[in-house]
Amino acid sequence: METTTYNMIYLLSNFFTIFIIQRFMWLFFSNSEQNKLLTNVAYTLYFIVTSLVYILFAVPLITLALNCVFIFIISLMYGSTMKKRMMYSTYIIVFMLFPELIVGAVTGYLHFSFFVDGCYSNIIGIIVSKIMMFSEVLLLQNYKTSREQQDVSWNVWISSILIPITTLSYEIMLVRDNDLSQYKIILSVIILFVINISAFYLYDSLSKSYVRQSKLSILETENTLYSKQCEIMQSSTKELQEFRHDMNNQFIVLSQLIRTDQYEEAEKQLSHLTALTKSKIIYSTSGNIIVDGLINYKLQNALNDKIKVKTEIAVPAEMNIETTDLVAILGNLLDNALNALSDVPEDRRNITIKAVFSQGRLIIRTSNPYVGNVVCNNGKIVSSDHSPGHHGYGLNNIEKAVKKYKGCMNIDYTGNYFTVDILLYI
Amino acid sequence: MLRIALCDDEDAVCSELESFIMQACRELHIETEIDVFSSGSNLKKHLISGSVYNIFFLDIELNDGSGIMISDCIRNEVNDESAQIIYVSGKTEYDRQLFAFRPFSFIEKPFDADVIRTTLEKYMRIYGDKNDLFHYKYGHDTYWVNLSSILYFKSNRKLISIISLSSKEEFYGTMSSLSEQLSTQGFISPHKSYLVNYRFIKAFQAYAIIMVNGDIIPIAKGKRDEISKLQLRFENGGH
Repeated sequence: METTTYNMIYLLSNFFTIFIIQRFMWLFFSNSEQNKLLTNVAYTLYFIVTSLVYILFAVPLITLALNCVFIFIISLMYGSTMKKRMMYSTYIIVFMLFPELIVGAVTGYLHFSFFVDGCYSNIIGIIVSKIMMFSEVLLLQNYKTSREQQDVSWNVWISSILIPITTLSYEIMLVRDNDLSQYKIILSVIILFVINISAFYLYDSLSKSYVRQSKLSILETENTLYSKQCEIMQSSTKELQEFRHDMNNQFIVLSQLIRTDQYEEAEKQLSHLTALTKSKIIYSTSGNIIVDGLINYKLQNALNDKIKVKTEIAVPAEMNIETTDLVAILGNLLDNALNALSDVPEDRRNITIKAVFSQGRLIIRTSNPYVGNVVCNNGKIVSSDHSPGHHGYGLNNIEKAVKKYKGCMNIDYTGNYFTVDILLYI
Repeated sequence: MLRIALCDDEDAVCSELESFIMQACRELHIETEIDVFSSGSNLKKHLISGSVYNIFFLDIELNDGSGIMISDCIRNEVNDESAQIIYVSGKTEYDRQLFAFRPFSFIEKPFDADVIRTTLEKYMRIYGDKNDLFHYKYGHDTYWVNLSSILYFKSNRKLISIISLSSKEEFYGTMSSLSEQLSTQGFISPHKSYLVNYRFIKAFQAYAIIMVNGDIIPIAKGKRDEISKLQLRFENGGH
């Protein structure tokens, strides 16, 4: 009776193991299954062979060897190189062996022999070790997500540990304290595994929808920039028409001056005209909608605020940089500069903006005069004392994005000019 | 002596640009010789017949072809990977293709004397005004090679190889003295065994530099930050 229950639980836990191995494979091989049918066959074979061998022989070494072989076979179903397959298969074996050894040690079976029929048959032990493996996958998954995309929130970290642990404790209490029938024990184990598997799926789909949502918000930023850019272009077309009308009048005056031999006056008029063509409200026309949109949008009041703008923009329409990062860097730089300029007397207000793509690099510079002192803390710029708190926050975001592209940032605030230089490898 | 070629089909634009360049060179104490071309085909003829320039100022939209055509001639027909191309344009929307020719910079029309000056300043900051020959001894003989034809130096203990587009020479020396000697002439040292000519770099990556001939030069882990900062100093000036 006891053995049958144990065997049944073993089969169940072995079934759960398939799920764990699959998660490990997805984790290491990024879900690159090549043939679904073949993969399913491999998993099924793993289940059948390991279960049979365990029930028939129950020699730990054979089970271990079989696991090694099968995990490697399963890894062949995923697209990768041989070297990586060997490495990741070893990782998986180690990750799976580790909880079993710990559980064995804690429950006093550490000195079992590898070669004789294993007498280890502890229902709780086997469940605990599987749940531990499961938690390992969850934690590794969290770690991977947090490295690849964005921060995994604390809630997710905690719940990915809490759900396995709480269900497990409940299961242990249930099995130990009540004299349950074989049927009920098996049922409770099934429920335990089902809860954990579904929690994982729930977590999976939650994180997917989170990614989708953050993509949506990127789109939204892009859309806002697009529509701002359209507005600015519309207003500039109107301005251009007025400018053309004005120019025509100026030309009439000019030809009149030349006809009457007033060359000095004509030259003055000419330099005035050249200055006119340079005072424009569109500062960036690179064709890169994000760069143009950001610069033109942020600087739309520059003329009214008496800010002289000097730009050097040479970027292709498409660049290998994520919109959010570009917005974080350029947007914050411009915000900081404009914010600092608002304290500068009107006659000294100017800003230099450079964004140049060259040989795989994006090189950015903003430079503007400022008044007051720059406040530093531990070598980091916290704020300028005229606008407390503002600078530091933006610079942090910029720094984060710069780090992502393995670039570097240089800040210089000598000689009353605040200059930020940024280099990104894209 | 800096050899500069200008190409624009508007004579007035050419002469204005020429006078701005001459003015900037006077201020920066650069010895220069400027050739002016009013058509792309004319410039192309000169290039094919063997004229060599350090800097080109090319109009992107020419009547008889484009800046792209001439850039292609410079880089791919006469195989001059060392010359620096500066694009001149009334438009500020640049075709992706232009970036593949590794332009030194872009200048907007109408011209601003300041912009032309800072562009030439940047050239001097990176490459210096000496267009020196590099002398080295091998055995008892002294050899020389034009610095602007050297892609990079590579050392293997005391043996230093000079890699250029078409040849490979060797001599005995030390990298540190070489690096000191050439740091003001556009050579950077991303790794203790390499000294790389900035003008022949096709692409910069965080951990490696890719040369125009496809060679990959590693950037030593301890030098990554220094190399990034050096690029910023080259490209933007300042500290």
